[in-house]
Amino acid sequence: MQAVETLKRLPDLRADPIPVGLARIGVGVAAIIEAFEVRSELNQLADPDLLKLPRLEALPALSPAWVNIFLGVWLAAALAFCFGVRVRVAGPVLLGLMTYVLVLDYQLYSNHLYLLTILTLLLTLADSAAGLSLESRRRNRVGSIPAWPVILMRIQLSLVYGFAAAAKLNLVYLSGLVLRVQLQVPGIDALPAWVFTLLALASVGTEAFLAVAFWNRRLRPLAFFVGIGFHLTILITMRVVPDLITFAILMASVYVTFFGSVDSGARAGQG
Amino acid sequence: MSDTTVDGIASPDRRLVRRAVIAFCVAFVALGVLIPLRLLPNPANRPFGWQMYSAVSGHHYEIRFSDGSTETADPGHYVLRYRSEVDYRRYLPDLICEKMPRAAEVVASNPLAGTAESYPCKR
Repeated sequence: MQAVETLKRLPDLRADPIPVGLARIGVGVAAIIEAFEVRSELNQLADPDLLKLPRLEALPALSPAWVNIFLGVWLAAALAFCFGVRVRVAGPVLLGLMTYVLVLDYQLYSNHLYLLTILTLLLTLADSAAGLSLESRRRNRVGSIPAWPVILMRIQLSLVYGFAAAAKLNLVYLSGLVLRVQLQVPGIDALPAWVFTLLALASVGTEAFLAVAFWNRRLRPLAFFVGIGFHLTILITMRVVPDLITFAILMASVYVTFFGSVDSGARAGQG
Repeated sequence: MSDTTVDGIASPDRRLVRRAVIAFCVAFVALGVLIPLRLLPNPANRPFGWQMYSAVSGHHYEIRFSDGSTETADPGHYVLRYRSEVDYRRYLPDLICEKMPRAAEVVASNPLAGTAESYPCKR
């Protein structure tokens, strides 16, 4: 019953736009990085020697000339999103381009692109340009924004870490084999198997902790540092690829939304 | 509380917007939980399941030539992005045979499962 009441109040809740603006900048930066990865992949898709696994046969792949146009539009939209200029146009444009990539070929799916798409959608709905944006500077005011997209972003963080931890509860991962294959640290092969099992358990524990700890006010600062440390460790110990950088930026962008207030809107001005 | 504006949208549209917001939130959370939950029992890194790095890629490919020599095939040379949830045994042997005219067969082995399957090239 309390859940129904909370749900009914959801549209009335307002959020602090500053942390959400910071999240929008982070997601915009991730979208800029992703643009170059997508360009490379779309160009490779034009290579007749590579395997194609289209999700929808009717959806056309792009010629190299169109890939450059695609990249140009993506970059322009990502920059506008990042700087908070016409976010309600830039967001849907980015969403369309990202969805096209996700749907075009099975091999183009990546968890960070999927997460980027979800966060772009929520930040567009959140009126995220109300804080830390060129638009808000021009308007010379910072009001409050709808809180429900911000709450959904926070829930998304828990879902990502929670299911990432749950999926790792299998014998292959817990044996340490996955980490033995993935970690790129000199001399690591010499370590005994139990070290990798321990690392595997630690990584599952960390993800499970991050899934819940941000919701606890007292644990939140610790969760922030654990999360940043976790992603930095991944970047240092695994082969640094744009995917991992993008993923770290996206998760950090959601972290900051936990540090903004969500209330009934009486305190902050109704933007 | 019910009179609070939603982004300045006036009544009676306000009630519709409130309902749409609640419906969106319920759908978002329901799909966000149900899709990964449905994919959880599957073994590999399923898309839309947040199963990052939860398993290792399954198969190794070896090309056997008609003169008896062998060569390890790097799937990265044939695919756009190697995804462990895709069963490349359905596609890669034929593609490797097509690109390697001297290949007699492609062997897909899974060291974890201790299995090896032969895919003779159709000439």
